[in-house]
Amino acid sequence: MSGYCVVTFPSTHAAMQAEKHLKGALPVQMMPTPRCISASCGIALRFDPSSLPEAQKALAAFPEPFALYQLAGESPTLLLCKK
Amino acid sequence: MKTVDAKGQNCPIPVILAKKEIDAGETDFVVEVDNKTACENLQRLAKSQGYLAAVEADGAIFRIAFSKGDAAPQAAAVQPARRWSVFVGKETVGCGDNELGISLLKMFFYTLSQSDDLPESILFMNGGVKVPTGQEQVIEHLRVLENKGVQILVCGTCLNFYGLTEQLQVGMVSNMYDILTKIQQADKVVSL
Repeated sequence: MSGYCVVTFPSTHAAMQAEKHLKGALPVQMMPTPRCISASCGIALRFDPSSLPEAQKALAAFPEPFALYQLAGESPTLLLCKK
Repeated sequence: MKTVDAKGQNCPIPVILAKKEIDAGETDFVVEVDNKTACENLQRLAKSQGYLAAVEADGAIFRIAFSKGDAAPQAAAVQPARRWSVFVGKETVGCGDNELGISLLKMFFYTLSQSDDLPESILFMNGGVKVPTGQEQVIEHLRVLENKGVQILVCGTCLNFYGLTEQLQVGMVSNMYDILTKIQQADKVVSL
């Protein structure tokens, strides 16, 4: 699988909370939300597609809303969205 | 050839002694030191002054032979068009909420590591030295930047103060002389 995966959040607080939540389960990096997903500044979490199963499992237990995308080039594919 | 004995001297003394020789117009001389940090600092001094530095290690003794060859025109040719530096004096971007500041710092270096317009150096002082010693994600980005030719200079006095000298993960232990020189040589310095 090429590219990378990104999780975005409606609030900065939720993003920082999610980093702590996911950190133990898989390697994640904090990055500015890619421009192709949102024009506004925001914190997103990036991880390698090979960690997708661990990420989905960990996100299932995350209480806040989020959106999970896979990016290949500049085109994002929405994989999962929790409202 | 003139030999300067700087064994047993800690930084920045060996660098000051070598600079004295350069300022006096010596074109060929040797500086002897007995620690690796001093050796690295002398090599950097040579490069910045247009000297060639040949290092000979004999056990714990390093002999750095300075020579004013044709290094100067070469050094001039590789000068980037615009030179800038980033100064990091604390663990965060700006002041306010600490956790947000640390998150912003991670994202700053994430974005910088993917950019084409790179600074010549990144300078860490005071609380900023906690970044190359303990900020896991930023350390990864700094390694990428270092591989792209960005110099990472970390204040040795500050590492010593916080007891973090052994924890340095990326970059070179440096001193006020080298850090100030980078600031003076830059067209702009950005403080986070």
